[in-house]
Amino acid sequence: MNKRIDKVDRISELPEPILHHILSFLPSDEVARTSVLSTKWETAWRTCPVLKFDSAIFKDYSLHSITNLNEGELRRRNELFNCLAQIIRIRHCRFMLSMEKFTLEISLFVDLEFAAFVEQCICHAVGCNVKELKILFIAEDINWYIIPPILLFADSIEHLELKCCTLKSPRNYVNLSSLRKLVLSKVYMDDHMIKNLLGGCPLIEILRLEDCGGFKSLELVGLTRLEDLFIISCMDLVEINFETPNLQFLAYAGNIVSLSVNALALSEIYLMIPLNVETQRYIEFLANFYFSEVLTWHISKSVDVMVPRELREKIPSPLSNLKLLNLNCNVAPTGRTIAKVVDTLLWFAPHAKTISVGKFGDFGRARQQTVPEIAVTCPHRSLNDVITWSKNRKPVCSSIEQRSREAWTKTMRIRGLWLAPDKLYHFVFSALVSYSRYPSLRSNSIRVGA
Amino acid sequence: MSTPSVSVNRVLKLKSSDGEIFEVKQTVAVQSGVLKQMMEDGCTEGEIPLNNVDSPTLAKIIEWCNKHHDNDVEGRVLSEEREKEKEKEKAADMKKWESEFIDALNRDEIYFLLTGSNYMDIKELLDCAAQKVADMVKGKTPEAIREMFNIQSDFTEEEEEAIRKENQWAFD
Repeated sequence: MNKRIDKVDRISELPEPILHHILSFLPSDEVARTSVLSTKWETAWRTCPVLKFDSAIFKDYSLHSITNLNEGELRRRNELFNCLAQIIRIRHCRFMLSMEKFTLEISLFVDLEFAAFVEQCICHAVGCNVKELKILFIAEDINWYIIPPILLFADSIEHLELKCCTLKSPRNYVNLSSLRKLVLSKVYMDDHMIKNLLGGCPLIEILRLEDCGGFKSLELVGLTRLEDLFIISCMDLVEINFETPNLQFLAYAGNIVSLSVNALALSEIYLMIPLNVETQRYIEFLANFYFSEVLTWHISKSVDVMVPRELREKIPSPLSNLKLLNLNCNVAPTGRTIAKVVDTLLWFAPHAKTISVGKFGDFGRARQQTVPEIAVTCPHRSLNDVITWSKNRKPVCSSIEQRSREAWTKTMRIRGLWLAPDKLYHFVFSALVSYSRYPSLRSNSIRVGA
Repeated sequence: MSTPSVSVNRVLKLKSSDGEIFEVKQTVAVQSGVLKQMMEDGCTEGEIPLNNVDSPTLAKIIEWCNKHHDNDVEGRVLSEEREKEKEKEKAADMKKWESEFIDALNRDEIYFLLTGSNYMDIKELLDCAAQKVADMVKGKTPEAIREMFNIQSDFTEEEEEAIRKENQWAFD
């Protein structure tokens, strides 16, 4: 029966939007190849609203410098540029098509043919009222390429990503009135430019600035729809002004800068700041976010976080509203220091329901994807004190795990032990001695061992 | 965005193109943009005719929606470690189920699923089916694609040569 059915060419009967949708999952060169199949497919390619010029097409030109190309390679590269520019030009000038997505991902060359090609791509994509535009250059940190100003007035763009380039402020006010998501990586711009840029995208919901430079001040004013904000390694920054009433999530990695925070909806924060400054300075920095509920804090060594007792008695806890504190460190605390670290964390966040100390992967990953390798969790206010100490979520001594579970069902459950059994007692004791200083814990019965 | 007044126990009666009636919980049916809109507009009384979807396809679509109904992993989760882990496992299970679901279909069924999910506006299912077809096309020569889908060329030899030449960059 299948044979009979398969004789019919159903796929070519699909309505064009569905065929376009299928083609959008393929690299553009593969889509172009399908154009020889039949008239239907040829039309589908010519009108396909998603174009992606990336490493699948530029694979031969992954070298950075133009000087690495010999004459023949250079000629072939320029021919390819012409072909690709022609494809997008026809969409704009001859057929006046709308475009959903356009992606250009290519090594950053330093020559005029390259600049002309990129400029044509951008201009025609904007001419096609593109909704999602990504111009991504692969380079170390050369950002000689200045984005053509037309891009800053493309009011069709909803999602814009730029990488390794420079933005220069145009004479007029930027107008990106449809923009919802903006991702800038290794983009160089001065204070004037970023102010003009953010002033021109009133609907922005997600903003990500990564390794961007050239601006000292970040004024997040009037961005009433901004919900997610990532400021990662923008090392020239010295001040940030948050006037973002609906901001919910902030990831910040970088220097301790001067802050003015008016963002009461902000509930979840990812933080990576250097701790080689005066303790008081980073405590003051943290205190700007006193209202937030979830903090994930990345530091290199867990012991760096410790605040001397004298200081703790002098200044108030900076994060009094915090419910969940995750401390991620490259060097996780060992049995001896864990209690001290947890002690300090309890001072930082006296009302926390859960504090976890662990070793995590790199910073900046999607927030719900981090996998703990080692985690210590102790919701010290709840009845079920849980200390979890696991490595790769696979128990090393499963027999111990089994026995411990039965022994401490009420007060403590230990999973995936990777400590040697004799060290375990020490660890449990030191941790518990520390917790028992807190009244809510003292009421719970503490039993160690069977 | 207004949420339709959805009660857990209420069911919608969907009528396929060949006249078969399917009962679907409202909470499941919201995954279809079209049905969601109808619920918001309050016009879901009686049978809802789906003239572009036949009964085997509708059965498949409902199977998909039922599976995805409880497993909405969207949303901001501030839950504890363990819940996160559980969710991750759930998402992985779902991916596995999805690929098994789609792999079990023949080309014809995928075709009807594409048009059906497009008609009922179920984005995830449409993506999944489209991805499947894209995977089938990926890395194949035009000749192999033609053979796989029984696509008859309506070009003359000269025309095909001209198109091939025009897109020479993609064949290099």
